[in-house]
Amino acid sequence: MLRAFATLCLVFLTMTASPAQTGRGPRESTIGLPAVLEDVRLAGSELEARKMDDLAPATVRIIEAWPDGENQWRYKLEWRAFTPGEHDLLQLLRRKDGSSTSELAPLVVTGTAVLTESGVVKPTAPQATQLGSTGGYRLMLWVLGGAWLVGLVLIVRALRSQRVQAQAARSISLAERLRPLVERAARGELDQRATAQLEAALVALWRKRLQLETQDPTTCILQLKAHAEAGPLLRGLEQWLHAPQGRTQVDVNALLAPYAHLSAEEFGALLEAESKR
Amino acid sequence: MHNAPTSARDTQAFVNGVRERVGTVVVGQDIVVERLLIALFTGGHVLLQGVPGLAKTLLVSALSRTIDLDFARVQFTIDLLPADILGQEVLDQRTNEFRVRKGPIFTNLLLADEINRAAPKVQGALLEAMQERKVTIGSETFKLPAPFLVIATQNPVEQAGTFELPEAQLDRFMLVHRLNYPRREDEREILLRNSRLGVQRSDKGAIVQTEFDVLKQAPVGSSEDLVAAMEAVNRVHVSETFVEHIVDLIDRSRHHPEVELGCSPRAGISLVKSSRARALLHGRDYCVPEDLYALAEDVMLHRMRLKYEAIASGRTGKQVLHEMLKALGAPQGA
Repeated sequence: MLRAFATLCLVFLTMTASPAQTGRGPRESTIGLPAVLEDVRLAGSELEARKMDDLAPATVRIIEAWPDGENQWRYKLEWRAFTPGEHDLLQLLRRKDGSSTSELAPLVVTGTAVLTESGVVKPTAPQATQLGSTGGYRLMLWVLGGAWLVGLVLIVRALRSQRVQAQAARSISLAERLRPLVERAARGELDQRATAQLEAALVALWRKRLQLETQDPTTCILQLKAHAEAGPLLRGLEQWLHAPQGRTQVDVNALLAPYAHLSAEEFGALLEAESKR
Repeated sequence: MHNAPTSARDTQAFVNGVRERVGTVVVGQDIVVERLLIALFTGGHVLLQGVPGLAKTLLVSALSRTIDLDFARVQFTIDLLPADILGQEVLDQRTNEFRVRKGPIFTNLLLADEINRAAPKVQGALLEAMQERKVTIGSETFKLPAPFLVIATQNPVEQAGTFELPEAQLDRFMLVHRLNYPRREDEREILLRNSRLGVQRSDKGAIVQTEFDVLKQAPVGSSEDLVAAMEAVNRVHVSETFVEHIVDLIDRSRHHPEVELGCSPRAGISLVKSSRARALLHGRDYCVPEDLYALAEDVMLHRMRLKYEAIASGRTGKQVLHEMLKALGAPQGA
């Protein structure tokens, strides 16, 4: 039992005391890129790096070296390969005392090439991607602002043209609704509703002619009735339409004569001329 | 009066007398006097809106003394109770029985000063009595005297501590007249008249006279004159064309795009009634559109409610009403 234990300890000690290739670190690296090996134990006297020329396939630099027991050194090495393939770092080292290193096992590292063997670099085929937006958010804001402005201008123009059309329609509609009412009144064919419309239309006509549209309706009707031209007509109209029947004889044809000969267009022109006056 | 019956001429003389007498005390409020007479002749009620100091109370007091009518004034306050206006049953300790003590509402002319200061139940009690012209106290129902006219006032400026009258109750008022400040020349006359008021000796001291002290002359008319005037109003002719104008105007108020609440049929009835009274006051025995234009604001404006959007855009009911009046006869929506 004791013998077996002693044998195991011996085996362990033998393994931990292995002279070379015990270093930690990458044994493989891309060409040109440095790699570091630590705790490399090499038997014999201390080593140093050989002087190499520019065409050396690899280089090694001793970063640190410590004595490691009797007749053995522990190194921290930085190596760099310049050609692809395996390289023995021991070929790049020598004893400081000039003795041989032939008893040491090779310390092999590998340099790998990223490029192809021919050395011709083929560019990556470009992928078809969508073009990014031209300009930034500022440009986008300008474009949106411009579009909004254009839209606003279009809307304002449309509303203005609608208003102009409505005004034109209104002036014509006043004339157009007045003329047939006058004609029907002269023939005695008006019903009560149409009679009320006729009266309101005549008041509206005079209000427009005398430019009293901004006045409040009460003041306006009082001024119209006091007016030299409109007054008699409107008072006669009131007599005809509102006084008890048979009270006064109103000559409707004479009353409406000033309006009977005017066409709808002439009414419109009259109103326009009066409003420009 | 133009071709009017003799009784109408008497009525015209009575009206002119009232106007002149009121005019000796109140300056520059002829339109308000006209509106009060319209209400008196048609059995309607009036709400006067105006800032304090526009002689509202003096005006009503002067009118009541001019026509020899009973007059009572109630100052509406937050703690007023319906019984304070209508009356209540009180226990007679001698007979040990309840007897009715009538309130100030049993009068011909009731001035409800600052009606919006009272709680809604008081407003409701008054407005119900206005509508039904009778009051129930305990188990007994009493008719209000005839004529019965409520002239209420409210201050549109002060809103703190007031209860705004809802549309349904405002509708009970035939007319809501908005008083304006007097014109410059009227203001001058008011100051001159006031400066002529002297000092009145009383007991061992003296008090400064007010316009109320001037109202000591005999009335120019009696309640019989008033009844005659009311009958004359009922004889005023209303043409179908005039009714058509009113129907058109009321209809416009209900379909106007900026109006949320249009006028009720009661507004149309009030327009016809008040137009007849105004025609009489202006010496006519038939209504003309001028009456409609003059009264539309007082009759319709408190019965209309604008939409929120219209109010937010700065529109007023007056503007909308004026537009409707100007558009009379035109196709709607044109």
